[in-house]
Amino acid sequence: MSLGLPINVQKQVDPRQNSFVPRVFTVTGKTRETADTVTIKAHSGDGGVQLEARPGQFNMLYVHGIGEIPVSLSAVGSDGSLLHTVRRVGPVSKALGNLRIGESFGVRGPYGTHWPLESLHGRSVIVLAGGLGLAPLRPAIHHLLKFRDAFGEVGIYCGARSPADRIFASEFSRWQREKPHATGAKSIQVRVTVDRVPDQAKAAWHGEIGVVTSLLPRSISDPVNAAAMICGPEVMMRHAVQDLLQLGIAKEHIYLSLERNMKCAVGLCGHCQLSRYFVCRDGPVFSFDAVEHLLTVKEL
Amino acid sequence: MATLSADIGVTYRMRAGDLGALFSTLHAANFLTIGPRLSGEAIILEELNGPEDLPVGWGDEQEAGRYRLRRRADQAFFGYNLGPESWKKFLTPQRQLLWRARRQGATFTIEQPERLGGGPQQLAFIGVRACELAAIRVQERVREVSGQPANDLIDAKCRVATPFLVGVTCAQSAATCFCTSMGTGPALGPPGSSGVGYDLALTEFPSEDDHHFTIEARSERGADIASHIPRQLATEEECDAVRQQSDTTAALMRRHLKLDKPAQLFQDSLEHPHWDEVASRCLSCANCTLVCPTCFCTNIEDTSDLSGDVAERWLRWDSCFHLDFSYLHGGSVRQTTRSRYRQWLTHKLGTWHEQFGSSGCVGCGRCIAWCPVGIDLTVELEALTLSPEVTGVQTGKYEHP
Amino acid sequence: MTTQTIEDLIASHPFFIALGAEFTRFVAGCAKNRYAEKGEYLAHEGDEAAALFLVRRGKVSIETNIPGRGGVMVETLGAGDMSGWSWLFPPHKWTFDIKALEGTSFVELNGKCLREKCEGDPRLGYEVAKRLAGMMVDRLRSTRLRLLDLYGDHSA
Repeated sequence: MSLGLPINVQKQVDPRQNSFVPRVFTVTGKTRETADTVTIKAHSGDGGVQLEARPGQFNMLYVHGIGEIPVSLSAVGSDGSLLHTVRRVGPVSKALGNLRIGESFGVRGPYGTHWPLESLHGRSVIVLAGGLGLAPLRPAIHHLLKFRDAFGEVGIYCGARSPADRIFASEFSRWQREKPHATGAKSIQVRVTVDRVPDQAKAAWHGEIGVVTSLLPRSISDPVNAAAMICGPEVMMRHAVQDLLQLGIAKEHIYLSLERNMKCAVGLCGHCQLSRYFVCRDGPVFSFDAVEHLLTVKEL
Repeated sequence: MATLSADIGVTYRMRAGDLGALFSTLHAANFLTIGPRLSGEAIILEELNGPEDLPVGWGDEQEAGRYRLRRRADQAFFGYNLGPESWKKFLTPQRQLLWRARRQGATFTIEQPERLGGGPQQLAFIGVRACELAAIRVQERVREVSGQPANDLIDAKCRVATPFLVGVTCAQSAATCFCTSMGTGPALGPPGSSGVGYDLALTEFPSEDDHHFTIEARSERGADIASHIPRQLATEEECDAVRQQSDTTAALMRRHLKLDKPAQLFQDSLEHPHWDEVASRCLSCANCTLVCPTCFCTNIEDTSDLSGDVAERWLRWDSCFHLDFSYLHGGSVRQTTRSRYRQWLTHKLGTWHEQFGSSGCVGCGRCIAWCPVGIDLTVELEALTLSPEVTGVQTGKYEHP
Repeated sequence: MTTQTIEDLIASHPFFIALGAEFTRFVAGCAKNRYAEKGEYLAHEGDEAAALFLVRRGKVSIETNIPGRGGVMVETLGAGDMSGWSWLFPPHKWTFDIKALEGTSFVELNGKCLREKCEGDPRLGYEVAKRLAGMMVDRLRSTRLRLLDLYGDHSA
């Protein structure tokens, strides 16, 4: 007998019917961030409702015939556009990076937990990013700028491989310039450090050289009342957490964005499991106390 | 056909010769009947035309890394234990088309398999054991927790819209069974007690001169079907015999799994040297996850035609034993067999509780029988509960089949 | 701000935080307040290492000269950082250059003076050694993290 039933296909698809079906978005803008990283701006092509993403969430991006990868939102445009910053390292990210304006790709999402910005009102905030880790933090930074009065001191610390590997560098001065509206709070501190400066870039580089965590000790004057949001390579985050704890920030106020193999994004495929969590659903943003004992277990 | 109404919860007696009426009634009600069938040298789950397609007179012998069919002395319809396949074969098929995309210039359109409110033909599962009712419920729970409508994962004909479930009491157990430890069997409890709700409960008494069943409806539609089957009220002795049968099966069960505080145990044993010992035997072949009735991991595969214009995405079973399962740009998180076996066992018996509110193991023992090197989770678990020093001494006790 | 003494400057620098009044006074005997113009060297590789620098404002780089490439920066240090530990370890010679990248205010502690005070008062000596060791542990950890080249593409 055959249980392999013929597939009947319907033309009109309501994407909400099946969580694996993406919506089709069209590339409306591209910004080259570094030699291998590009930011894609896209609008939905189906005239459907806008995706309401919160800072720190991710979408599953599909390129026709190639595959699908999770990519965090690096901003949500006021016109409902989505911005994703992609580093060209695998087949799908390369294909995404190669899309031209007017070409389409699939979007499922947004998925996962977000930076708990509302619950941080009244606190000082440290934003710590390593490399591409700044991408999922950028919407959070935009929130901090927009609601500047709601927070205490704000420090943004970015690490990059070299000056040319910085992303969103053109926005740094705007973040820095942002003055508090009413309160006596200080302006936002933005500091960037790189691992190395190639000789030809030496003259133009006025930032720091060193690891990003070395910027922390003199970052915030009231660590006990502060929270931190970290995103970057997991090793960097493990070290950063130790430094932040050393500063006096409570572990439940340290948030980090983890990365695992997200495939289905809805907690059904098992690929992104980390102990009792599915990172796609229970993360990617976790408070440190929720994952403290998991991060140093090898191959968990 | 007699249509004396059958009442839910009332035990009736049915002659073995009338088992055919169950099939014909289900067929008349437009059900496709699926159940155990002899195929090659194993009992698998396939479409059945009638009782004659059941493995009549067959039993089996199972041990760690071993499964053999054996002729029985009688003509029992259900005188064997679980085969390699579980009902997830139908509930979450091994391979499903999610959707198809057709390139149209710079963009593409997506077509998805039609989702009907209910198929033209629904499925009826014949001979579902108590542990399997539990397993179906466990998988259902996974979908519930994920917040996904069940039919997202179910194929085009919406088969999963609750198949008609005919449970059968286990009159015997395999040496690999340990459902009593997991609280999932061998008795068919009241609906919803430990597993998914079901429709009919059968208990077989295969004596030569009086081969008969008891049959009890557990749902409205079960009662509807039962009302078409020739039967009479069971005597008190016959009712007692049902309970005695499962009590006897339970009492004779040889394997046990003891796990009081799973979360604590696994948290404390993540670096236990015994993981290395298991890894030295484990082939990372994924058999255990394929035969497991609750393992639900899937992968999504992309295919495209030669022109590249038509691309499809397929959902298919995957296993945490595969190296690529935990792939993260550049390499896999779980590179060693040690870490992959640890992931499987700690999830199945430990973190599953935290994620889904129950154990992921129903005690069916398939992973023990179908492990090519006979790794037995009940033994491994025991070793993990011992202190590392003791385990070191005990390492030599494993016999490789 | 105008009334800050050298002791205040030392006591308020993270490296000597909570050192205690007695030790601060003691250490201050070795200290002078200094300023370096942009491009000025605080230390030259190979010279006698006779100072510990407490950076108060500005920025310095740890660098080395590579023929054909000029000064190659290894690390930058700023307000609140310290630099210079070669004065404690034989042969007491600088192993890298220290250069001001911008106008930099710092407290310079005479290495020989500090060394003698540490030798003379093992309690102070241990306190200073602990702080130096902690700083070196941090610096080593940072260097190790950078050795990992965490932001590079390692998938190839």
